[in-house]
This record gives sequence, C-alpha cells and structure tokens, in this order.
Amino acid sequence: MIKFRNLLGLLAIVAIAISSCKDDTPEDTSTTYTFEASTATQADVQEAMILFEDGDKIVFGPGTFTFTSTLSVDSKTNLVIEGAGMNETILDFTDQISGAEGIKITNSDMVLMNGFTVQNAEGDGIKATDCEGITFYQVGAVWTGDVSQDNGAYGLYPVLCKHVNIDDCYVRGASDAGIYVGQSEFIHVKNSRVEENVAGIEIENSKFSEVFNNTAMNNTGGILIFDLPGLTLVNGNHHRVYNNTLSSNSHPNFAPAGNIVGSVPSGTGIMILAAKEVEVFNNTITNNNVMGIGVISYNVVAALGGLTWEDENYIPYCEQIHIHDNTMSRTNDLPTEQTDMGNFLVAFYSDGDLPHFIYDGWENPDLAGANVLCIENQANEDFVDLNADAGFALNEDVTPYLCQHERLSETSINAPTP
Amino acid sequence: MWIKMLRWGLFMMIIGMIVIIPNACQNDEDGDLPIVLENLPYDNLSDYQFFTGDMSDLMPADRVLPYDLNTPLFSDYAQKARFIWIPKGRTATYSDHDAMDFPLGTIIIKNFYFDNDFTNPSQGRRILETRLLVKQDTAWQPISYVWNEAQTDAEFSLVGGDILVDWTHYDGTERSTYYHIPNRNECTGCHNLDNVLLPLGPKARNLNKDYDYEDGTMNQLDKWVEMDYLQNVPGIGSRPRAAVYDDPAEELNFRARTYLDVNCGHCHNPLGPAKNTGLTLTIEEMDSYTLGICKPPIAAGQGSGGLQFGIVPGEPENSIMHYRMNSTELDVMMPELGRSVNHDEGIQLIYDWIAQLEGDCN
Repeated sequence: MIKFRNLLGLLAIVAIAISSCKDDTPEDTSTTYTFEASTATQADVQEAMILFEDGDKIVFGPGTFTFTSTLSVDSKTNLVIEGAGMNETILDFTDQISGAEGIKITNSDMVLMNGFTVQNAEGDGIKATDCEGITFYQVGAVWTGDVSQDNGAYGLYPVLCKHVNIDDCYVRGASDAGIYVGQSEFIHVKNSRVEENVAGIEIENSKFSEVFNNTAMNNTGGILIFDLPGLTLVNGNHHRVYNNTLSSNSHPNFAPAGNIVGSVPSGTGIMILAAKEVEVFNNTITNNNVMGIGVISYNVVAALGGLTWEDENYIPYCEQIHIHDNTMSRTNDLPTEQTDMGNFLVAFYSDGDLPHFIYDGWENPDLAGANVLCIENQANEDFVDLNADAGFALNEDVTPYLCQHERLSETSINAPTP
Repeated sequence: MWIKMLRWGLFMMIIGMIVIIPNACQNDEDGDLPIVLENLPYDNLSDYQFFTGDMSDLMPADRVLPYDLNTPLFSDYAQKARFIWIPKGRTATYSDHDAMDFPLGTIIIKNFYFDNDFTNPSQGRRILETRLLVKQDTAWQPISYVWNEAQTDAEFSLVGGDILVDWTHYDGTERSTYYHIPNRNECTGCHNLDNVLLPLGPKARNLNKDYDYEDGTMNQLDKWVEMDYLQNVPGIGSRPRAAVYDDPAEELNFRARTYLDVNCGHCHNPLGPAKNTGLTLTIEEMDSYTLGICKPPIAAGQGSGGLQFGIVPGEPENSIMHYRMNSTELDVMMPELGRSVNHDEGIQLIYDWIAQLEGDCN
C-alpha cells in the first residue's frame, strides 16, 4: 500500500539518519517471515504475502502446512519464498475451499521460489502471470494417489511472463501439463523430472526457450512445443530442446475432453504442433512407441477434433524444424488406451511398427525444403510423411527431409538464482 | 514481522497526532468529512464518519451519495449498498466508456449484506463487509472492513476470510454458504486493467438510471452533476446505457451481453487478468470467435467439462460458458473469485441467449 511504502520510506530516512550518527553501515530493514508447520495459519501466511516489501523473505520450515484457500501474491519485487527442501516442506491444499490455484503470483518481478512442494491443489499448483524474472528452483507440484482427470490442470504454470527459470523441479499427476509455460518469452526449463502427467513439459505460444536436461517418464506425452490460434502471442518461435531423456511416455491420456492436450497420443516422446524455429537434438528418446517425434500442423488437429479457427495472424504450420543427433529406440508394444489421434496413427501400422518420426506433411505453401523440416545425423531415420493434405498417401522416404540447417542461438535469461 | 508493524503503528500515531487534529477542525468548518488520506486505512469504518446514527442503518452523512447500477456483479446473492464521497471542491470527469476519471480523495463505498429473508426485508439483515476504493495519489487503494456480530462497527482487515451466512431465499428455501471476503491481493484479481487497479461499477452506462433520492427521483448522472461530483456529462440522449439484466422487457441479446460484460468482462478483456485465454466478453467485443463462439478453450483444465467450445450456438448444454457458470467446483466455476453458489437467474439468462444463437461449429 502507498501509505505503508511512504511510512517505510520515512522510516528508512530516520533509520539512516540515526545510524549515520553511529557508523557508516545502513541498518538492514528487511524482514524474514518465518513459519512453522505446527503453528502457521492461512491468515498469517497470507498476511505476510501482503505486507511483504522489497528485500523481505518468506520462509517455511520443514513439515506439512495445510491451507484452505489460494495463497496470493500481487505486485511485488524481489520476492523470495523458500522452504526447507522439495521433499521436506509440503504446502498441502487437499482441503481447499476457495481459489483455483495453490499459489497465485501476479504482476511481480524477480520472484524466487525455492525448496518446497505444493500438494493436491484444487486447480493449478503454482500459477504466475505477468511476471518478469521468475524462478522455480527445486519446487514440486504433485497430486497424490491414483492420477485422475479430477487432478489440477497445471503443476508449475507461468503464463504471460518474461525470463522464466524452472530448474530441478518435479511434477506428478497434472491432468494437463506438469510444467506449462504459456505466452511467455525467454524461458529455461531444465534439470527437472515430470512423471504421470498428461503432458510432461509444454511450451505453448512462447518465444525463446531452452528445454534441456529434463527427464520425462510415463506421461502421455513427454515434451510438447505447441502453438495455438486466437491468442495475443501467436507464431511463437526459437525453441531449443536438447539433452532430455524421454522414456516410456505411454500413460493413458486423462485430460478432460475439450483440452488440446486431450488429443495427444499415448506413446508420444516429443510433439511439435504448429511451432516455428524448433531445434531438437541430443535427446534420448526410448520406448515412446506411437510418436517418438511428431511434427504436426494445427490443420490436422483441427480436422480430427472438428475445430475451426478465426485468426488471420496465425500460421497453422510447423516451420523451420531441425532435428538432429537424437538417440531413439522403440518396441512394437502399443499403449493399451489411446486417443482419437493415436488410434488414427496406429491404424496405419496395425503391427505396431510405427516409425520414429511422424510428420503430417501439411506444409505452409509459401515454404519449402530446409525451411520446413530438416532431419540430420540421426542413426535411425525411420520416417513417415502422412501427406495429410493429400489424402493420407503415406510416404516413408525420408530423403527429401535429410538436410543441414543452421543452429539456433542460445537464449539467456535474467531471473533470480538461489 | 511484528516489529515492522509496530514501527508502522508508531509512525501512524505520530502522523495522526500531527495531522488529524488540525484537519478535523478545518473540516468541521466546511461541513465535509474529516478524512485524511495519509492516515488511511483507519482502524474502524466508523472513523470515516460516512454514516450517521446507528452504523448498521447505513444512513449516509451529508455529501455521501448513494448510487445503484443497472446490472450489478453477482456476489453470492449478497446485496450491496453503494455510496460515493468526493472531497468538497473536487470533481470527476465523465468518461463515455471507462470508469469516470475521479479526483484525488474520492472514496467509493460498497457494503455487502444479506437480508435474513429475501422475501421480506423487514426481517432484518446482516452486514458482512464494507469495501472502500480510495483514490490516493494517482492510484486506487482497496481497503476492507469486516463487520462485527453486533453490527456496531467494522474493523480493518488485510486478509479477509470466509464467513458462514444463511438466509431465506427468494423461493422461500433456506440457503447458506461460506461467503468469501477477499484479501488485499484478491482485489486485483478483478479490479485490474493492464495491471492498474480500477473501479469496475461506476461507468456511465451502468450509472445511467433513475434513483430515488431523499429529495426525489433523478437520473444518477444528473444528480452527480448537481452535486458537482461530475463534469462534462453529455445530454441525457447521448449517454450509453447498460441493460437491466433481469428486466424481461429488454432485448435478450442486450441483457446477456451486459451480464457478461459486468460479470466477466473485467477479466476477459484484452488488458484484463484472463487475457491469456483469448476470450473477450466485454460489451464492445464483436468478433464471434473471440466471444467464445466455436472457440476451443486454451487452458480450461477441468473447466472444459468434456466440451469442445466456449459457446455452441443453439446448444447451451454443450457450451463451456454455461457449464462453468453452472458449477461451484473451484477449478471449474466461472467467475473463479467472489462466488461459491450458482447465480440461477444469470445462468438461465445465458442459457436462453445461447439457445437462440444461430449457426453451428462444424
């Protein structure tokens, strides 16, 4: 509040005046709000999140804290929220009666979350909007028990943010995407583990991302790079996806119908949907038996899902997709439950012997050759062009797409580090 | 953490001693409220002297002007008693479309209460909270007060809370719910345009109606001009007007679009908190896809309800908009704040509106 700021300013002036009489070191006026699991209440924690001033810290001790409403933070800078560790400090929302997130952070800059897990949030685990410089370091978002479509949609959910840093995090059980970065720019998602979500990691309608050193196991799809119509940021581009381990992503798709990830086939390693400038390299992609790497236009998703769109700025095609130096292996074991799109693909290969690369072949008529799709230095180049725009006349000849392409530049970010 | 609060308290006391006393005398002379912006928030609602006599009667002091809206935001069937106070000598400037441009020191006062019996208001009421929006410097500050059980006063609250309320509903049934008093941060969940906190209600189109004042009935905008509260107001024929959503004499589309504008448009707005959804529900939005017609959801999660599109013309039961309005599940319901029960009349209105839309999504 303005009044508080004014008073704090006054206080600072007085404090400096006094301290300068004594010595030259200014008094540290920052506050650490410390909470213990045995005594903390929703009101105490929420009050700290409101009173918080630049330079303060909110610290949770070890143990399980129970909350019944969203904890919200608005319009703060240099915010630090930390726990005693991802497995030590659990913020539990099982009994939530108000709010659609566990933690909601809005319009705040240079935010550091470090060392805690949000558990069983009614909606999303941690949602952050309109933030610049936001770090999730060793932060978990989990839904316990059997996974279900009643679980929250997103685990870690920065949207409309700039300079996003998700490092060494863990998400399990999200009914949409475990780690979801939407409509954002300058993004690192790294060193994280995602399991038993519909999408492990999803980067949607965003620009300049680095997705690396992550492990995605037993999700429906491991990593998704999507671009959808009808949003302010469309035609996102410049994504580097590398050094990730994607294994056995064959969980049944449990997204509520109507959501775009609900169409992702069970058995997907990496799916690129209508994205531009994506470089996928040095990943280990094992036993994602339906679509090891898929390069798909929005036209196909729309046609299979009965969708139309009106967005004259939106380009529904994949462009400048560069795939190289990935290690891929698979078996012919198919997931037991499948989505419509998955069934559609599997129908072409009833023996289960799908190629590693699935390309729908519906190309921007203004582009050709390396500007569409480039596959380079892959030990195993099993490939199919579905020719979705030409009556699905399948063509398994990869030769037209074997080419070299310049590498994308690395994206650096400016977000807090612990 | 308490050290900082104690320090604040000390400074508030010091500043209070310096400023309140002379100002109070000064204000007594010109007959206006003795409110000193720098000292806000006051500890108690009574400190503002907005009301005379028994606080719970909400009888406004001189120059505290009651007002009403054509279509209000639904808040769990809470009733609202609204007032505005502008310091003497200052005037707001009319805006055709946005909230009025209010001067420094303006205070918008909204009391939330439940009649014990909606069919018989003489059975008394319970006032739960009073929210103030104060124009301090160039920014608006939200300040909340929670009423005591005795209904004698209300106390400043940063964190709000959930209060069990019960009432006899319009249909005679006994109802109850946990009414949520928002915390300071939740205010900006709705009062937010491009990350600036703004009033939602007092827009020309929603104020443009008659009100029964003590001294007779008058168009509210004319009254505001008479009070010197507002300037540059166009003639009565040139003012926009919002529909009264529950007046069946008004056109259905106008009523539905007004209802969506008031209840959804502050978030579902190209500059609002829900801009990430690509769904815009303001009164001026004319693009059918952006309004949700045949638009698939972006980040609805459970909110999709297994349905494909925001609005399917002619098929309210297959429209996500209707599904989410007709739910009280936290991760499904819309609006996601300020509501724990369904607004039956609003749901019916949107049902009827979608049912008569023409076209299909295939």
